[in-house]
Amino acid sequence: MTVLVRLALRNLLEHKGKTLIVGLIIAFGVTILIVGSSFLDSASRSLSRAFIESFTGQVIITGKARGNVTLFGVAEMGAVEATPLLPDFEKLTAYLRGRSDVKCFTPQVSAAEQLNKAGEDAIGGGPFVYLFGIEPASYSSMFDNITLASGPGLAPGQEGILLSTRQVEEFRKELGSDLRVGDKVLIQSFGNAIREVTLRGIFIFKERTAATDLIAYVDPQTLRALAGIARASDAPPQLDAAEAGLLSTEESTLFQGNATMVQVSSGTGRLPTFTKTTPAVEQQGDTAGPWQFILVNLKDPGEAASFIVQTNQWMADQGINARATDWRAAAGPFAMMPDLLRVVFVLAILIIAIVAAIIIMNTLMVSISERTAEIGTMRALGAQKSLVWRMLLAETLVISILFGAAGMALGSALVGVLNLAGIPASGPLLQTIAGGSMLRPTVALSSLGSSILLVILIAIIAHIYPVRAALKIQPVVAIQARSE
Amino acid sequence: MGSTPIVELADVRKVYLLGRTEVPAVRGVTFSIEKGDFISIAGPSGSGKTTILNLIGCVDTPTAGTVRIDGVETSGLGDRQITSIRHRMIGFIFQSFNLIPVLNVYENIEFPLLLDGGRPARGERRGWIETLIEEVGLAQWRRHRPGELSGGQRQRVAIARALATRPRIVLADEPTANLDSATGQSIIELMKKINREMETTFIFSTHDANIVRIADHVIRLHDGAVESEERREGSHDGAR
Repeated sequence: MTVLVRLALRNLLEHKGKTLIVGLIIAFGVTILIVGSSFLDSASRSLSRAFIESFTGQVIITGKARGNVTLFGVAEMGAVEATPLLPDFEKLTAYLRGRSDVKCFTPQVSAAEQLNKAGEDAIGGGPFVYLFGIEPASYSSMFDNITLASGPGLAPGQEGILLSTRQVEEFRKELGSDLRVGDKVLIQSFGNAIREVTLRGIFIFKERTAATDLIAYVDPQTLRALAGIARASDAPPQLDAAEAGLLSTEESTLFQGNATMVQVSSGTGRLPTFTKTTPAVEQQGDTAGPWQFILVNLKDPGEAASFIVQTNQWMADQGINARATDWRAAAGPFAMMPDLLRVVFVLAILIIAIVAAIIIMNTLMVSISERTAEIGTMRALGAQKSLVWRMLLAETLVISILFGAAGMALGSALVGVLNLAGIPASGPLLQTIAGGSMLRPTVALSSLGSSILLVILIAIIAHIYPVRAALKIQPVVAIQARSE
Repeated sequence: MGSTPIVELADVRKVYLLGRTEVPAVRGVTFSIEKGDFISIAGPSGSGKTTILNLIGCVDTPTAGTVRIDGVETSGLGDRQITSIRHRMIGFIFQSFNLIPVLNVYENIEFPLLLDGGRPARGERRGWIETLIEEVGLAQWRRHRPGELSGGQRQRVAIARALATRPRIVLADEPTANLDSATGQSIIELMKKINREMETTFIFSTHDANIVRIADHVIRLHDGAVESEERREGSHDGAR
């Protein structure tokens, strides 16, 4: 083997031009691979950290639906499905309290709604938001994701809404009206239910993504009323004379003047339109439910996968029609961006690899045609075909390992520079990809290992055809060779 | 004369196909070569000298007839077996020297010794290579590559390489064709010396009259057939 490595190294040095062509292609490919995969790996890590720390937690427990249940609705192709309620909420929370590996958890309801100015006609309206109905105490202890710019925030059991500075700005642009803490805001659902709530605070998300731009917080009772979520035990509505009169008024009369359309809980599940909620409903406690999600953080995040399996098994054993999944399922389409980019990146790398393999193969073919007499001589002297194959393989491996290592060094250095400088992400899309406002990529050892293996694999594939040509060289060509 | 000839050709024919045309390069050649012969296969261009050498050297196979090397018939053997015969029994000296350009003198001579299993131990190998280097007079050039040597020096390296595996036969195809007359003469004398000392059979394909003159055995070819065969008794001294 020593003579083969010696021959390989010296032949590579003897034909510097071809060696450089092949080597630079390999180094370039590896550099791209290292930088690209470092960027994507770092973006994935940042995104998961941002989502988990901002609003999904590590594990989410939801009711079951045909599609994937996310915090932003049910993802299902070609159909609109309501987000299911969580069954057996008390049983689930007791289970979570009984688990020593659970650090904390918090319940949530969510729905997409439209904001409007209080007192305005409900038709038209302002920005759309995803409202997260939260239990403020457990939610704030689990997620330290926002900074209050003004206002006291949501207190447990208190009606109210928190909007981000971005949403307040959008509100002002679309409706021409400033919002201040204490102002009333109309929330209108797609089912035409309306609620008026008090703005209790304006906040800024610590890590901004495309998802966080859409999220606002509200007390869960308001959201339940808007989304038509109720418990069977809710008290029947108490209407005054004027409100009762509305129920018997013809539709044509209703649309005269400034009739206000409001919503009330009837205690039967889906809420009828054109009724008003009762103070009794408004003042019922938040924690009892119903809820759509429980977000869970574990003491050891690495145990999330096994926790999910165990919890799903427990729920199946208990006959609870619910499902535990990880943060990706909770985040829905917002978590898919790095995966989509990775698919594009892999396709690009595949194209580069094919082109590189073709160039390497052609260069090797030229090299072998120039060394026909040399190879024929070796065969005439008694070299078996296997030795010729091993000699050419040694050359291929030497060049791919040497220049692959150079590419890894260059790629790692570039990633190091980018890490120090940071890649600023402006705009919600880039911030979603980056998982925040600044991406600092790092190189993973697995990237280095997989890069060198890929390079070796491509080099071996590229050298198959030239080697087959070399093995067909007969010893007689050595005798027919021209003078040196 | 009772021993088996080192090379035997019996009614050997070789036909090459050029497109649809059959070109007979060798037409029914029969002769034998004894161990230790210093034999010249002579003839004009196109007489079949190189083809005969290729058949003896097992780098080509006859269309008909048999070729035996040390009693072993070579036709019908697989590539691995043929290659092994070449490695163990035959040394080659090419007209164009055909040294490996990235190896120095020592490494070129050593190369055949590294090809097969059962290679000699490193110390024994080194000793033999140094002997060959001394024999061909290149002791001061052992670390030089072929590109740094003259034509005569390169051919001396080729001679040493051909002898590295202690072959029974050395085939030399026009070994002095690319050398000036003085250098060619010294090369011939060297090979004759080795033939005398090591009893290695040398088989030349050559136009060179000097080689023909000092050869023990001369086979003249014409149009692919043996025109004449001459054995000279006691022709073991240098060129006359």
